[in-house]
Amino acid sequence: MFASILAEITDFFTPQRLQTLVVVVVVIIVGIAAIKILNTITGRVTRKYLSQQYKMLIRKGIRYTGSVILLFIVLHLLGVKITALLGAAGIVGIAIGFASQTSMSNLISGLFMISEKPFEIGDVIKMGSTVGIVQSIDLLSVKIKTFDNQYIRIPNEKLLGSELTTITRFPIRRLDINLGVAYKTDINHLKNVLREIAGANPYCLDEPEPLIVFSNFGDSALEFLFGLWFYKTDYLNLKNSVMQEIKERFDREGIEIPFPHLSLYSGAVTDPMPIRIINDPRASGGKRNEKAR
Amino acid sequence: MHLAELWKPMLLKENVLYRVDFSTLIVWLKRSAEDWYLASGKSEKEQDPSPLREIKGRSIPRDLNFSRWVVGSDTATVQFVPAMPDRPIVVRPATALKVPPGRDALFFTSIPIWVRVMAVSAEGITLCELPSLVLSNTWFGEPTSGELCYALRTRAVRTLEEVETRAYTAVCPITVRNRAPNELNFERLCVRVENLSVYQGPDRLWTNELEVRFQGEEQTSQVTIGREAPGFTEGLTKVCAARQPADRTLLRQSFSVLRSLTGF
Repeated sequence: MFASILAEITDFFTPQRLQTLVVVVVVIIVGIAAIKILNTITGRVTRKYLSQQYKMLIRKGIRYTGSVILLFIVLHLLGVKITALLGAAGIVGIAIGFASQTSMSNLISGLFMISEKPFEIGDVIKMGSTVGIVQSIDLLSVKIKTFDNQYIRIPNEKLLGSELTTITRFPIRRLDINLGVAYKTDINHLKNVLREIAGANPYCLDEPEPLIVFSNFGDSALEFLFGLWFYKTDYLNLKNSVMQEIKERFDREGIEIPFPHLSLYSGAVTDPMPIRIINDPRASGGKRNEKAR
Repeated sequence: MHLAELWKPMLLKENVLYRVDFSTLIVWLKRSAEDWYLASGKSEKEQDPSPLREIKGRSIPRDLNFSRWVVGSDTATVQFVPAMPDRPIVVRPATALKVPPGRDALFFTSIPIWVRVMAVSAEGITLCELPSLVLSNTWFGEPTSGELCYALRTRAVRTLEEVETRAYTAVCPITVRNRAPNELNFERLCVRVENLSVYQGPDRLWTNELEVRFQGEEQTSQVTIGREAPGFTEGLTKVCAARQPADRTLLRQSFSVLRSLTGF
């Protein structure tokens, strides 16, 4: 049994076939090495001139085109007729095309997106409730890493058809804080305090100047918008520090941040309904008890 | 205190804690046989600098957060070097100044220095750089393409006698020449401090002289950096070279009129 298998193997690997096999292995090794070298050279040449996104596209283009060419060379060496294979591939291609309309849509959307360039690798984007850093921009999808370290793949078709925010497109951003203070607060004093808080915080940009807008007479508070400009990488540093500073400074200055409450009026224009608290048991339960007796 | 005391090399004894103060910056330093330990903190108020001194007993704070440096046993000397900040500074005069066409104006601006902590050895090991005074960030230029800088308010005094003598600031003499047909509204000036060296004088620190030739709001200003120490006092020695040595003359957008960003 073993002898017959060995004989068949020996018969199959004729010197001519062995020679072809060696040639094929050498071509594969040389081909893969050539693709890698070409990728490295292209990467170095384009390092200064192209964005990371375009560099990645060129790298992928070289890898895929090189791999297909290498495959055809290997098939040719093995004696496979390429023309027949291409014909069959055409028919299969049509069938696959019908079956993969979504992928084609993603592919075309990907091409549009690459030309439009709404963001780059490393940008922070927001789509719906998803916020994350762009890891790669491919022909079919965009991969992002969220801040809690999850990997999310968004199909290009969905990206192109939805509202997308590139948070880090511009170098500076504004942090908007909605503040509510008690109605008794001196507004000029409050504005000065807010300006001082912004001026003392090193992460808050001196220019553009902080924005202080008296936005509304709220139900329980005077409402203000406090907008602070910052360099895009300082978001967390600014937010953590300035929120604490606002609370501490308001406490020191006696500025009240009210919680929602309701005042009842008995008809007078400004006076609230008078309430008198009596701590005499005879005034409440005592008299009723007497009557009950 | 003499200025030279603060910046001269000092020998550190082994396993002794030292402290030095520069304005709001406090540095603690300790040396073991092989390693150096360094911690920094901030005081609430600006204070006069005091040179390196030993700290013992109760005056040692408990919450010091030391970083450890593998310096080696061949060096036991520390030197604090006054350096320029690592980013440009946008200087804003406390009162807006106007320079009529064809006029020149000399201003003195005090720039808070950064302290470079160095272990003195053959090659000189920089341990870290710390700001003597933490300046607020600011933006210079368009919001879409500007530059991150530090903000500095200045009295922009016109005579040397008016300049306060502080050990932790370097005096930068700036000459503004208005060569535009209209008046120069000097609201802010971007000083590229990374191109400036620091010089030590008998009573204060200095930087190179700057000459800014204003040619119009939409034009780039021609900035000329003095090659030598400023000529307002004698006996200056260069103590720190510029971070980025630049050509003598630069064409830069030095004056800025920022668009109002207060609207929505």
